[in-house]
Amino acid sequence: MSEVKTVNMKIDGRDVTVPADWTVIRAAHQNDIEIPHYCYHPDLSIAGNCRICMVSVKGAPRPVVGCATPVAEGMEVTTTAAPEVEARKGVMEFLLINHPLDCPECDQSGECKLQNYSVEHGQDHGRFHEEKVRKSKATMGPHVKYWGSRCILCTRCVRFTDEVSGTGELGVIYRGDRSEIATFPGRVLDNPLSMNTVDICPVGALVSSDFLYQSRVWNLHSNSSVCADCSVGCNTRVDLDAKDQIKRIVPRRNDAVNKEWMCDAGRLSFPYVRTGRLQKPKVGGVDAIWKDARRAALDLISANGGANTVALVSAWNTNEAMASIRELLAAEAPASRVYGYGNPVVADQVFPGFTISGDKNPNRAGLKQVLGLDTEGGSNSLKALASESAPIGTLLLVHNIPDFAITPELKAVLDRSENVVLLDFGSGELLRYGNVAVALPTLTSFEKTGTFVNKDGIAQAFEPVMEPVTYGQPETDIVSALTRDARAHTTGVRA
Amino acid sequence: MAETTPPATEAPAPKPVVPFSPVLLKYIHEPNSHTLEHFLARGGYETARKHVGETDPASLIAIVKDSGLRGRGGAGFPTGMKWGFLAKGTGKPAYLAVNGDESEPGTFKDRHILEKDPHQLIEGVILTCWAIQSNHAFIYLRGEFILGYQRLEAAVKEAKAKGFIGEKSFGKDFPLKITVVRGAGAYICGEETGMLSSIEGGRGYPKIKPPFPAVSGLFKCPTIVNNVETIANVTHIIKNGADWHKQWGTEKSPGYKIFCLAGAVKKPGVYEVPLGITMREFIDVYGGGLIEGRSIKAVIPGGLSAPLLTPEMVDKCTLDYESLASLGSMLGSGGITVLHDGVDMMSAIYNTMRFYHHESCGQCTPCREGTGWLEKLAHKHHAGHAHAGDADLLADVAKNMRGRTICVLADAAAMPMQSYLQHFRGEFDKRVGEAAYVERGRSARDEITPAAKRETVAHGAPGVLDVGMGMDRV
Amino acid sequence: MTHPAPVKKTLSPEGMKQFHDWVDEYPNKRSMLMMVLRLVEEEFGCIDDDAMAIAADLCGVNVAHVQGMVTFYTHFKRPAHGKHRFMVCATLMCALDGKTDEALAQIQAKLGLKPGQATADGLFSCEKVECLADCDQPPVIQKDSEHFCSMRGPVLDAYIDKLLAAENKASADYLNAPAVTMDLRVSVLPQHYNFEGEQNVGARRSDDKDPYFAAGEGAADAPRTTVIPPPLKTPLTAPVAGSALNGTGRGSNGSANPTGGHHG
Repeated sequence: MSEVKTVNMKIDGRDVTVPADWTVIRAAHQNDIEIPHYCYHPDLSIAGNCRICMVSVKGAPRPVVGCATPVAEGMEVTTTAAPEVEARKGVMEFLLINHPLDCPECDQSGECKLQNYSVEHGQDHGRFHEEKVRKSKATMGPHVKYWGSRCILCTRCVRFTDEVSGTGELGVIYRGDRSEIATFPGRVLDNPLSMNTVDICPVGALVSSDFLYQSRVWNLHSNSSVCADCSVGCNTRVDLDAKDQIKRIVPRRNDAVNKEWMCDAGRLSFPYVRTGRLQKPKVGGVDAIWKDARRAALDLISANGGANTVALVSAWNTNEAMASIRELLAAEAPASRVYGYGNPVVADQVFPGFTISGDKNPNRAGLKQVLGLDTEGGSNSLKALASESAPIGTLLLVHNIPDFAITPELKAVLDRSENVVLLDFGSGELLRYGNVAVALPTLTSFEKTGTFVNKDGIAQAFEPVMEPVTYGQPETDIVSALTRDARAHTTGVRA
Repeated sequence: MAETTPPATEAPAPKPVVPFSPVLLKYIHEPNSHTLEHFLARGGYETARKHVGETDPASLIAIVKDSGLRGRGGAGFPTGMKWGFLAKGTGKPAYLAVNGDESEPGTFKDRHILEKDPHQLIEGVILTCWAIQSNHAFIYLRGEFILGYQRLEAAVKEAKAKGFIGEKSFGKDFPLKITVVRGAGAYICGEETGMLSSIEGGRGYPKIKPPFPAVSGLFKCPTIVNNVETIANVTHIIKNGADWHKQWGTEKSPGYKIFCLAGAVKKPGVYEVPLGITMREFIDVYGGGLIEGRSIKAVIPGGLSAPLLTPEMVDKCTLDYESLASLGSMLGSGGITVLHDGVDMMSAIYNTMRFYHHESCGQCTPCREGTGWLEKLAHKHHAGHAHAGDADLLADVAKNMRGRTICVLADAAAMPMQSYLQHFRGEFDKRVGEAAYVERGRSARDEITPAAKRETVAHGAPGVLDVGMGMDRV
Repeated sequence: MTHPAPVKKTLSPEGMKQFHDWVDEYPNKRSMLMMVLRLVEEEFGCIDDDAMAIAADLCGVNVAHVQGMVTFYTHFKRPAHGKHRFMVCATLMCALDGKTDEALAQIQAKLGLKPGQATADGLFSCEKVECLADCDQPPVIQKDSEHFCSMRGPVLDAYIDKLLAAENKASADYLNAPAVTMDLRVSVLPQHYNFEGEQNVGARRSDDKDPYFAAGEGAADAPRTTVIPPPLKTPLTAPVAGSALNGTGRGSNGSANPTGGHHG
């Protein structure tokens, strides 16, 4: 990698060294100096139209915008002196004169840049007593609604649809303070990345239809997680209310994985956490206690040293779970065979600034790394197993895939199996299959620790964001407990 | 006998006055002045033929620079100097963009060149393109110029048919294209980068400067932007020489200019005059003086955005860039409007503010919101129900708009407002119909530093920082 | 991006030929947009959604961008404008001494139109525009491609009468029928994309009173234009009224009209 040319400059009296092709605002942010901004976004082109990121540069007659000013050797920048403070105050006032007093009903309240900067950089009284410009409200698309009066025309959303999603649904219409954001009649904002515009909108002009009026943001608490819906593994922040209900999922910045974007499907996938869950262990279709269920499972798995046992592990399991399965099988069912499966891999959806992976499994790479299994083809995939015809004594099905429809291949394998030991968190079709002898409830990725390896080989660990909603346990723990039980059994201590 | 040097305080001896007759508008009253035959018969295209493919381009730039020609579109920037700024060695083609979007109210001079002498402009374009080594010129005309577009487009076709432009301009190894682009009713497309955005096929949003068009303009290539009148002058200056141009005018404002006279005078119209004549002479002699029974209340000297001149200032004013700058105004595009003593200044300022509000492109905050606010306040004064203190508010709003925007439309709106407030404050006060708004007591909060405010917020509201105030996410 | 509105119109062969002739004059297709919009405006008489889609397709840009352009530039003719579109300059130099108001009053007297209105049959419309760059001969009016100076009094009356005669209409037809406010907003979105509980059909409503039209007439309450006017075919090559402007009726110091006051 070639040497990046750097420059030395001063910001607020501090000496900093930054790459020569940066702008002042990026140099400041990188050095933990906050410069207020609306239209600037590190992943979008420079617009320079909000005019709030004013800074003073020594030698310039008046403040300049930090987002459009390239750094230079020896440049001296101040961000807190009177000229720029006055300039920002003026710009804040202009932003608020036509802005509706919607805070009481606006979703953005509590995480609104207008509110924040008004406190920090604005004045505490209004001087505008005239009639405000009012603009339309529109439903931009299936997931995004638009309140025109709140819009400050930073054009982040327009630049997003032009540059990141490349779909160009949004444009600015009319002129002057009558300007609005609009789509063309008959077209809507329905690209798979549409809800990112809600994130980047600094005010409450673009709001998520899903989250609309659901909660005040200060009543929510957040925890970090990783999206499990595809092999990109977008870093997420999950916002939950006081009752641990997930209210929304938004992306977290990770320049190596997802920048600051996330697809709509991943954001909206969380309802499965609360619906259709397997609450308790079941043996023979009847609720049982964990001890008995594990006993039954272990007996089935380790029968004949595992000679009639086949483990079918999905690509939705964590690395740790896969390691514990490997350990269990090595100890208790050394003659068993292991196969891999998952959601089918389809073509990637490639956008200019983001790719939604067609691999709708979070951990195929981990499946390969830890257990050496493929899912799409190869001798240890479900396809290969389905093409056999020999009956299976015990099928250890480590599932954990939400919203899964039983494929013909899986059905073929289930039909050949005498007993199925199912590890899953859902209570769907699979559970009702006649031959599920033992069902052990697991947890979703929101409720457990684990590591997924994404499509680029990046291992991402995540922590639980909420307490488990069922009596289930992380599959890692279940499988380790089975191993422990087995050892205890052989040492003669009855569990 | 020792020569005495004159004392430093004495003014230098005035230049001897050289008779002037119109150069650019010389033929516009002849019925076929726009035709190729008429143009060729008066030596048209001879200068271009002589220099294109022959003369060192740098020497042409030097002549224009030496002549002191300044941009006639409003900014008055020295043309030769601007041409010298053109970035070279970028590997990108250079463009010439001719600004024919004559939208500054009070200005109506380029129309005459376009409609009645378009070949004069085309020859200037050819010479300019040779001088700056550009192979493609765009001429941008406002959409409302219908006849001008027809005549110019026809003239371009004629020039092409004759081989003056095309693959080999004048048979030399110099390809030249001239593309005429029509605007569609946006004043902001008269701003140089607004025009470039429009030519590129978008909304007329001005671009952030720097980088300046000479470095990165049309299609991110080095571009020279000049007004129609400026380019029309180029042929005459190259043909007659820099000294010829400097015969008239003042030292810093050499040459002549087309001025547009409108308003309460007997003979409004376009007049091409040497720079430096007095405003009084222009109004009284050229314009025939004020209409019967009227006197001057104010004069707008350089298009609607220029600060006003009161009668006293008019007496001191000469038509050159420096004189008007020293009076706190500007020569601008040369659109002079005389307002008579019966004009209601509140009506005039309301009309002016409405114009800028309507024409603001809406890109950046101070102009987008500020022009609307100025209009609303001006409307209250016009209607007679302003609140006490609104005039002070107007001054503050205008001040807050200046110097903080991408282009100078905000300044163009704020300057007249400040000028009216300065000279006609009494009329504002007469229109106050309501008491002042009761100002909430200003707290000491305004004096609190941003850092202290952040602390207040952090300690004030429990739970606010739990979910992130959005500060962690851009 | 999905389900685009079906485009009903196509550009004529002559129009396509003009487009192809122009292509070499521009470094890229996007820069042809201003002229392509003029092309579709001339061909279809106004720029409606179909015309925008055609322009976007020809120039390889997103149609939302074209819609942004058409609503930004006020000179483009839209479906709401009348077949005969009167544009009256209302900027300061024409507005002085009530000249603009005089012209507008005449138009109202003849056609019953206030600025911002169109006749119910879509034949005539009137609007205020900004400076038309002929400020020495106020009031200045443009009607589509025709440009008039000092347009008031009998001259204006006679011109309107001529247009009425050409359309087989009389002034009385319009003085009794109420005019409609021109709705220059973008078309509405399909209904099922409304907010829940939205009162008004169509998601895109604008409530602000554009100060540009007559004060007090918000776009919200007046009845809408429902008739799409027939296309007005005045190709740009047709001779334009007022071409005898050279040297008549206005002050100038061109050679045929010497004024006094030269130096020396």
